[in-house]
Formats: sequence, C-alpha cells, structure tokens
Amino acid sequence: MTLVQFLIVGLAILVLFRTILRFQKKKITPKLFIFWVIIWLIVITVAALPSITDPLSKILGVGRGADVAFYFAIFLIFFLLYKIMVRLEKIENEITKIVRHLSLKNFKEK
Amino acid sequence: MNLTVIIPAYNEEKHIGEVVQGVKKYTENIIVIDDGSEDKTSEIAQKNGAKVYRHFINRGLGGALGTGIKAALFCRADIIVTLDADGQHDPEEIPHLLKPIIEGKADVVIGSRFLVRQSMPLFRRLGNPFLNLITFFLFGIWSTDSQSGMRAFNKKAAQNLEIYTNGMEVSSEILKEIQTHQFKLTEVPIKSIYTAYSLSKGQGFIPGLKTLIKLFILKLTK
Repeated sequence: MTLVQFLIVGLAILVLFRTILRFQKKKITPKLFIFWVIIWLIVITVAALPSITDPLSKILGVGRGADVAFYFAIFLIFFLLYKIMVRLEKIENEITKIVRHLSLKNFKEK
Repeated sequence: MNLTVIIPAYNEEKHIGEVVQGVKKYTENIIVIDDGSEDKTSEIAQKNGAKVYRHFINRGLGGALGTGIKAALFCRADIIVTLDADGQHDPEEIPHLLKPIIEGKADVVIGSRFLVRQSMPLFRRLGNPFLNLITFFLFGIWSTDSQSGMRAFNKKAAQNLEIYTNGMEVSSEILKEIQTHQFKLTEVPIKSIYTAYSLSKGQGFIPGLKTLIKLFILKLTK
C-alpha cells in the first residue's frame, strides 16, 4: 500500500468510528447512520484495493477503476451540496415564519 | 375600497419619510415593514403616519413582503400595492397600477420599467432581461420586468399568494405564483428614478448570481 492509501484508509476508519460513537449517543438517525457507514466502507475498500473497481470501469466505459471512484465522489459531493442548500432554504423559511409571527403579534399588542 | 400600500424597508432612514408622504396622497393605509433595520427607519416611518411592523432580524425582501401582505389582509385591504422604500418609484403612478384592477381586467399588475424608453445603467439593462428569461424558462411566465418592486394585487390574488423565498428571488416567485394560480396579469409602464443611492440598494452581480441559484432550488423543490 502506498502512503496515500494509508492516509485515506486511516482517516476513513477514524471517521467511521466517530459515526458509530455519534450513533450510540443518538446524535444521528439510524437512516443517516447506515448511509454514512456504507459510504465510508466503500471508501476504505476502494482505497485499499483500487483494482476492485476495474470491472465497474469496463461496464461504464471509464478508463480506470480509480476514475470511477472519482466520478462517484464528485457526484456525491454535488448531491450532498444540493441537499444542504435545500435544507438551508427550509430553515431560512422557518426562521422567517417565526420572525413574521412575532412581528404581527407585537403590532396587535401595541 | 380599502387600498393598502406595503413598503418593505431595510436601513432606509434617508428616504422612507418622503416615500410615505408621497403615498399619503392616495391612501392612509400605509404599512412599512422594517426588516431589522439598524437605523431610524421605524421611527421615521411611524412619525410620518405609517403602520410599522418590525422584523427583529433581517429576513430579506421576500420575508418582508410576506409579512406585509399578511398584515394588509388583516387590515381588510381590497387592493394591495407594493413599493420600494429607496425612492426609486414615484407614488404618483399608483393610480395607473390600480386602474386595471378596479376595471376588473387584472388580478395582478406589474409596473414595468421596460415599456417606455428611459435611461438605465447598462448593468441593469442587461441583467433584467436575463432574469426575465430565466424566470420564463423556469416558471413558464413572461414579464418585461420580472424584478420590478412596484406591483398591485387584488384581494383574491393576495390571499392565494404563497411566498416561500426570503430574498430578492421573491420577485420571480411571485410570477411563478401568478402562473400557478392562473391570475390575470397586466403590465403598466412606470418611470424609475435612478440615483446613486437607489442603485446601491439594488442587485449587483454577486447577489444576482445568488438569486439565480435560489431560483433553481425553488424550481427543483416546489
């Protein structure tokens, strides 16, 4: 294994443990827990054995297995970014509802 | 007939007084939404005779308009007019906006800066049509001035309007709502008074880009 592989695997294991700890403390939902465990297990497997993605690269017509992992990672990042932005909009909207409610209530009480 | 004018304002102490005074000629029902200003916007608006609703934190144009419409409906408004607080719109044009609604020809009227030839800074001249096109592609409704802040709504339209967004993107969202509810839309030409001050208050390039992203999210989620 090269140094880069070591680093990725090491980091992923660390994050995996943190995820398990957070789940034990009930900081994340079971659904999210399973999602992240799967993601990090994939990361560890692919980092340790890059050739494992070769069959996939043949099916998809992408040059190397490692490239498939990169494409997947970029797609995942964009997807999560989108999810976060939608979530943020929702929270912003909820804050507005509170502020609006208070504003209307304060006026009536004046 | 109860005409209520809504003026969303954020740090507008310099102009809010004269805007409220200008509107007074047409109605006594003036609602100023002080959107978390740090200056004397609230005091000045109140002194000039407006009803002031205060947001204790800044929520943006969409948030303020939503509050204004709720407040106006609570005050039994039959027609609602929205106006910018920076002095860009001339209150003298309120009657032009009301006419199509009173005659029953429209549910919503937009005051368009592009129906008459007038000087406009280049960035606005390019940016506005671009946002018109985006609004058309996303929501299937065409307006010659999708970002105009001067509009009029009848009661039916105001009651059915569902505003979700908080920022400047609300202008396009209102058009989306007009399309969804199949309201009758009319545009009337308005002048816009560009001063260095009102320009500094409008959208620049980066906020414009932010508006764009938020419109895409709105399209994908709502």
